[in-house]
Amino acid sequence: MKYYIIKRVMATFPLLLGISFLCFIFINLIPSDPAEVALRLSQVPIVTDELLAQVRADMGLDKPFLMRYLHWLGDTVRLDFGHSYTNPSRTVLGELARSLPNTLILASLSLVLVIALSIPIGFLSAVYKDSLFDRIMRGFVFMTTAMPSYWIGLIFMWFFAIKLRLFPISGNTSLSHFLLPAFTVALSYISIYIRLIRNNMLLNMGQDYVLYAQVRGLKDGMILTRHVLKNSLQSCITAIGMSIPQLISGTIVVENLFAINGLGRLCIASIFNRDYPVIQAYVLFMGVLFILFNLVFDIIQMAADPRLRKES
Amino acid sequence: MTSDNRVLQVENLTVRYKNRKRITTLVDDLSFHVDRGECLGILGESGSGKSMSSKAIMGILPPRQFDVTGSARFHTGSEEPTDLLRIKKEERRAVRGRKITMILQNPMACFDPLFPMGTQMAETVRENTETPVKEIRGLCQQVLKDMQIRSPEEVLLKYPHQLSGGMLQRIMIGLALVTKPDLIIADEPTTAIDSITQFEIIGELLKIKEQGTAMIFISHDLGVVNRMANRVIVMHRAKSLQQGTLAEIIQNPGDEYTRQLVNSRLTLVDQFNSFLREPGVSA
Repeated sequence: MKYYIIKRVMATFPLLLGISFLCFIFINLIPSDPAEVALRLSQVPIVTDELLAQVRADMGLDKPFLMRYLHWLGDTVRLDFGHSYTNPSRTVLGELARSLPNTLILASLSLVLVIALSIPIGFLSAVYKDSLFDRIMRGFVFMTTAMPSYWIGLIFMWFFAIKLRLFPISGNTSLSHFLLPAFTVALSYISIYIRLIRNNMLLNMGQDYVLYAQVRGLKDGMILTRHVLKNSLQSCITAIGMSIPQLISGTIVVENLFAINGLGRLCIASIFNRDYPVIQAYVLFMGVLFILFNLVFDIIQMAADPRLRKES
Repeated sequence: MTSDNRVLQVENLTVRYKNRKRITTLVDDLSFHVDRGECLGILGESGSGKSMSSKAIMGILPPRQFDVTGSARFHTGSEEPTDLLRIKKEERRAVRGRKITMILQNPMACFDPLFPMGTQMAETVRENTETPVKEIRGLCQQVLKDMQIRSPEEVLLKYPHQLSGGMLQRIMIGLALVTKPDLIIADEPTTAIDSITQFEIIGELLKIKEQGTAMIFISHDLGVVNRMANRVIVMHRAKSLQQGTLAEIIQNPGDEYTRQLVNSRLTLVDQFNSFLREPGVSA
C-alpha cells in the first residue's frame, strides 16, 4: 500500500511535466504574435517595428523555444504566471485566485446535487427494475444526456427565474444565485450516474454473494443497502472522483450563461482578449487538477477495496 | 415410513422460466420426500434442474421471472406442516437460514468481498438466532473451531479473498449448522474445490449426517453421492427419471440416461471406494 502510493506519486511528476510542455506548445501554436497583442492591449497608438522588437526582447520571445519553455516552467513552479496582458497591474495568479471561489462554490454545489440525487434514484431504479419509476427515470436519463447545458440553462432561466420567479436570473451574490447554474451543470452528471449506479447494482444483484446472503436469511433491505449498494459504489469511486475536475472545468458555459464571475468566465474573457498568460495558466491548472484527482481517487479506491489493499 | 419422521414432502414441483413470451420448464413435476436422519441425493448433469428445485424450495427465485407450482410441505417440530411455496415472503425468510440452511457451490464467490468474515458470520448469527450480542463473537469462533479451522480469531478478521476455497466451504458448512436446522441442502458443495479438500468436506458432511440432520445432497458426482446418500433421485432434462437406493439404481438402471451415467461413472466409483477403504485415510 505504502509502496503503491509512493510509486503513484512518483509517476505523477513526468506526467505533470508532459502536461506543462503540451500546454506551452499549444499556446505557442496560436497564430498571432504575443508581442503585438501585448502592445495592442496596452493601447500603444502606433505599433512600430522597433517597438515590437523591444517588447519581444522584454518578454524573452527572441530566445529559442526550449529556453523559453524552461524559463516559463521555472516561473510556473514558483507559482509566478506573470502579469495579465489586458491589465498589467494584475498578476495572473491573482486573477485565478479571485475567480476560483465562485467556481468552487458552483462545482461543489453541483457535486452535492449529483451525489444526493443519482445514488437514491439509481438504487431505486435497480431495485424496482422495469417498474413505472424505472421506466420514467430511463426516459429522463435518455433525454438529459442528449440536452446541452447552455440550452438547459436557458430553459431553467426562463421557467424558474422568469415565469415562476423562484430564483434570481444571474449573478453571484447569494447562494440562491448558484442553485440554478449548479443544477444545470449537475443534470448531465446526474443522468450518467443514475445509469452507472443502476447498472452496477443490477450486475451485483446477480452475484453469488447475494444469493448466499438470501440463503443465510438476511433481510432484502439489508442485502441491498449493506452489500449490493456498497459494492456498487465501490466501482463508482474513480468515476465520481474524476468528475470533480470535470465539474470545475465544465462550468465554462454555465458561468457565462448565468454571469458568474468564476474561472470559466475568466477563461472565455482571456480567450477573446488574447490574454495568453491567463489562458496558459488556466489550461495548466485544469491539467494539474485532473492528474491530482486521478491520483487521489486511485489511492482512495485502493484503500476502499480489501482485495487491492495489501498488508504491510 | 411414517410421516412422523418426515421433514420435507415435495409434490408436483414445477418451475417455469418466463422470458417475454417464451416459457421454459426447468423442473417438471418433481416429487420426493426427505425424512429425519436421512440424506437424499439428487444426481444429474448441469442444467438438469437439480439446483433449480432446491432454489424453488428455498424461495430464492425472483417471482417476476419464475413460476413455481406444486407443494413443498415442511414439517418442523410438532406443528402443522407449512407449505413453503404458499407462505408469505417474510415467513419464508424466517424459515430460510434458520430451519432450512443451504451450502452452495463456489464458496470463493459466496461472501461479500468488502466485509471481513467475522462481520458476515455475525450478521448471519444475529439474523437467525437469539444469541445475545456479547456472545456472537465467541459463537463465531466456536463455529470455526468446530470446523477444524486453526486460529479462528485471525480468520474472523480476514477478508474472503484471503482464505482458501476449502476454508470458505467449511465456514459455510459451519454457518449452515449454527442454527441447528431441520434440513440442510448442500448444492454441489464439492464441485469448485480440489479433490483433497473435497475429501475433507465430505468428511464434515458425513459427520452432520451422523448427527441425524436431514440433508438433500445435490451433485453430478456419482462417487460422492454414493458416499453421502441413502436414497437417490436421478434427474435429467427437468424430469426425475428414477428414485431409490443407489444400489438399486446401479443394478437396475431404468432408462437409457441412467444406464449411461452409471456406466461412465462405475469405474470411477470403484477407484473412489478403494481409495476410501485405504487405512488411515478414511474420515
